[in-house]
Amino acid sequence: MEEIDARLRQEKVKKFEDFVDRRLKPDLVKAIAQRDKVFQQQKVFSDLKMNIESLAKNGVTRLRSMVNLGSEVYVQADVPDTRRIFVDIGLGFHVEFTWSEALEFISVREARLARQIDEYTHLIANIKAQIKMVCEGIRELLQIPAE
Amino acid sequence: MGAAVRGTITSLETLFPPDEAQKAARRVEEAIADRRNELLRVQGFVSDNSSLINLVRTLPEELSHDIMVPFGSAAFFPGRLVHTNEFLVLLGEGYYAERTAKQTMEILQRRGKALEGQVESLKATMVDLEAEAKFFDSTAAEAAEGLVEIREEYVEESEKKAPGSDSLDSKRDDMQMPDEDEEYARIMARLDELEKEELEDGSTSDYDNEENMAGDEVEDAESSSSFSTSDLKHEILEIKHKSEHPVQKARGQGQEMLGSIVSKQTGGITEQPLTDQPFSGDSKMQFPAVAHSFSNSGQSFSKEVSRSSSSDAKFSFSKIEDSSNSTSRQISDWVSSGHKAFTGSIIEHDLGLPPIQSAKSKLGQASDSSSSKPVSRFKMQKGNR
Repeated sequence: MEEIDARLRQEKVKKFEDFVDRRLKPDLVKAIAQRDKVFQQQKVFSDLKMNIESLAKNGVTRLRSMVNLGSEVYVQADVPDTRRIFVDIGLGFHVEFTWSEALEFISVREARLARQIDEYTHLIANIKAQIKMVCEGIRELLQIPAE
Repeated sequence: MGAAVRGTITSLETLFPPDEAQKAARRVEEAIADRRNELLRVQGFVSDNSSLINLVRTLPEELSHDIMVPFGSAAFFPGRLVHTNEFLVLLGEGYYAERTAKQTMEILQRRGKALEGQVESLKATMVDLEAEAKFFDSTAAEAAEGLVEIREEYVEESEKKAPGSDSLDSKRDDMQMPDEDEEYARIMARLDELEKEELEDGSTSDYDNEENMAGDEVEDAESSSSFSTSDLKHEILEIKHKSEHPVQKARGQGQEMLGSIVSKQTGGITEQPLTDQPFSGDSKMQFPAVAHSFSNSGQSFSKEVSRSSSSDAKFSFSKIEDSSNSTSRQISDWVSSGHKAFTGSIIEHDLGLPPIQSAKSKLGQASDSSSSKPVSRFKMQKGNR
């Protein structure tokens, strides 16, 4: 009787461990990677906002920059008019904005990205909580006293 | 026999459990997949590099190019490329160099070569890994089939013989037997050779005799100066003559001539079986010591011959051997070291002496047909005649 009990308990523990290892942990890794991606986007847009603000503050209408051709080979590029800027709005679309329009779009976009980050953070916390709970369940099954 | 089991038999399954081998094969496969990804990445670099070279080549063709100038990664301005023959190339560690289109292309081509080298090394590694995977797979398959590995320690020849000799001795008479057999085989081979010569003599006997005569005359002239050489020649002639003797006697092919020649040239040994006369005087004068020993051995053998049938090949043959042996023993005592070639050949006979004598005695007791030894073609022919 006790042997069967022990065997059943072993099977259950194994099932829980498999759930943690094969489902929850990969999910967690994926969620963290996605959140990092959103963080990067947020940084890109905050940089863009800063650059446009500095352009507006300095009243720069003509710009000389270096374009990366790939493999760290740069060529000089000339921008005759900086007042019109094409901004990536997602899904491969770029919209022509003025500086003020661009700043407005960027603030909307930043808010959305912040919301996405919050969602991912919640998701990550959720997964972590689930992992913790399953681990607690395993501890109970093995009748190890709580720390 | 307890000594039979020297090696160890190990099942391949115990050495390489099939699942373990398969696991190893899987790991190697994973390594191959990694390398393949790396290879794809590097090949991507290579194609990027070549397209960039093309771009750098075409850029200076125009004074300016209309492009969208990136402004961060999420925005760009409409603009154009200016100074299309000026490139800023990263040299590494944050250092940039200003180069022309041509110079930039050279740099990029050098980078391309390095990338090609990487691709080659990756391919070589992948080939190695694939071979390894194949080996693991085949090992797993073989282990599953139940193959065994047989391993036997190498034992020195002498060590092997030492423990085995006890049992060998009990089974066989002694260790000399194989030597005896070997000696016997050699003798038989020589007899066959002599027989062949004899057959040739049969066809060209006159010519051969003349040749012998001429050769011996020369030897005679030399014999005073070079003792041993002439002795050896004599001996060879003697052997030849003796083996020829019974047949030729029966056939009567120029025997008198040959016999007289031989008797003149070689002294008592060859002459005695034929004529029962002692050695001729002149040869005795030339080399008294040898002649003496020759006469002794020759006399003793002539007695034996007279007891047995004169046409017995075995006897005439063994007599030859014995006479040569006695000669060698005598000669090797006084021959100088400058005649090694001669002594060497004689000593070979000396080594063969005991087995031959035993063979002779055996044959003397038993009849030729009942002998345990294989009968040579030569002897069989003699026996039939």
